[in-house]
Amino acid sequence: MASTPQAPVYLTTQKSLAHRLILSTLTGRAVHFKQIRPSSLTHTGLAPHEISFLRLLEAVTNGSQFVISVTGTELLYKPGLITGSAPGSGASGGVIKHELPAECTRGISYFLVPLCLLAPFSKAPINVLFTGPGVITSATPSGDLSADSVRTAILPLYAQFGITDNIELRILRRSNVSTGGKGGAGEVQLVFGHQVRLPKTVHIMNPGRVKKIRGVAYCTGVSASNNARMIEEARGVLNPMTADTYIFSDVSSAPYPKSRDKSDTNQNRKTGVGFGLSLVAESSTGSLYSADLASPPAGGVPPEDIGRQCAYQLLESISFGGAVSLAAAPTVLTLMAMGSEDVGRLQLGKNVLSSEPIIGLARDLKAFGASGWGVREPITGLGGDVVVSVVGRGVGNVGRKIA
Amino acid sequence: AQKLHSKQRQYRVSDFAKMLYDNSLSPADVVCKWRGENDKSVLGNGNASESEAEEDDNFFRRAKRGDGAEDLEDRSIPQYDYDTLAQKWSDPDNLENLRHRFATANLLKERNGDDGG
Repeated sequence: MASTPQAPVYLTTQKSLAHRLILSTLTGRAVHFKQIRPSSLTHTGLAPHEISFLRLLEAVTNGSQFVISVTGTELLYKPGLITGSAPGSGASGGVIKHELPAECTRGISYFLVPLCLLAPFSKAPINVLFTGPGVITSATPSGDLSADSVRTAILPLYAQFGITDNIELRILRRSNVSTGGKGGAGEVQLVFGHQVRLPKTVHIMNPGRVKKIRGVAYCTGVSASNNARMIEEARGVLNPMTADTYIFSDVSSAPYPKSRDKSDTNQNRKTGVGFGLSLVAESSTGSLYSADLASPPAGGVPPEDIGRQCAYQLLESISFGGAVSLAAAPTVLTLMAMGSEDVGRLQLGKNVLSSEPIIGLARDLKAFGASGWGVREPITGLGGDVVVSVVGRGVGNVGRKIA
Repeated sequence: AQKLHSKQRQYRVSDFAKMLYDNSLSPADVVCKWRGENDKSVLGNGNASESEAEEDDNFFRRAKRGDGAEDLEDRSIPQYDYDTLAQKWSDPDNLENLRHRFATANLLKERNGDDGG
């Protein structure tokens, strides 16, 4: 895989950089990014979270090469083998410790969701501990899911592809976004111990009906009454729709990161204070719809608003229809494209399919050599949905010739 | 009049399949066109001028703000206007329309609907 004779795939801008790097790693095609924030005056080139993601890729693969231009606006990536947390390649005791810098502005899901996509194709199980002053487990203003939603709305999707065993996401220490929108000093461990030769071909055609809603209200470093207030408002919106609504409450103290520089007293203070809500609706056929919202780093939003807005966001997500929600669609579609050379079908809401990230994903997949999607109207079922047929590429797991 | 109507018809799946891999259109353009949000686009010269306008728009915005175009950053949760959402979902009609997606829906009514469809 490392020695691909093919020319690299040329792509521009930092758009869906993480996902494109994952596609590159899975398909073994080198990729060349150009124009990564070329006109930005303050943050030219790769951002801290993107560099962190490159380091993470380096840690879980063997033989990957990165060439970053002097200005950081160009990146050449030659993928290696996905080795996972095998001993001898940066992992100690089977755990890769990945430290995120304080400048990181993205939530932990920015790293978790792509890493989970690599994990089934890894040679050894993946076990990564995210730590450091940049780990934000809550939802972020930059549109990341919270770690709770990754656990309850993204990881269960892998079961449909026959990837079920030994998958766990432990949220060891919670953190919200700190002031200035940077860093949080939480701690998250991802264990992904089920490696497959090829994910199963799936036909997810029946969205079913929403039968229950679960959620997690979390607050770090603030009064637990915030949770109760968020839950109360969210239930007020959702209870008329389904009585089976249960929202857990998780209260934790704010992380207190130790500054390396002892003299800098300003650094030795609590970070990641705030609260947020993660809601997941589950349908009778196992479709999941999630919503996430957290208090903005600047503060000044009452928990009632967060709770209500999150509930509205969930209703909006459900109203989009389809068997897979917008947040989960890239994961499902990528796994389908990496499956065996067979046609898988997926029913998607029109609003989900015609969103920019999904169209971008379709084009990216094609650029990396996957076949195009077939799009047609469903024969039966609800109007407003579209059936996407995805032919697998049959790449699978090179580290695992026998299933 | 019929022609006009057909042009504004949105959500034709076959149109989308055509546009999906048309690299002359940016994903944003595809979204707009398919949802029929820009009525002004006339077939033919519509495409070119439109994407140009988009580019210009991007160019100016980026230059003005100078801190990276927000729309190039990936979001897994789209940016919602919560006031509009609140309005939409406090409307009982919209809630009733959504009710068929819930298990609490009136099954008798649902069955009738299924028969019809």
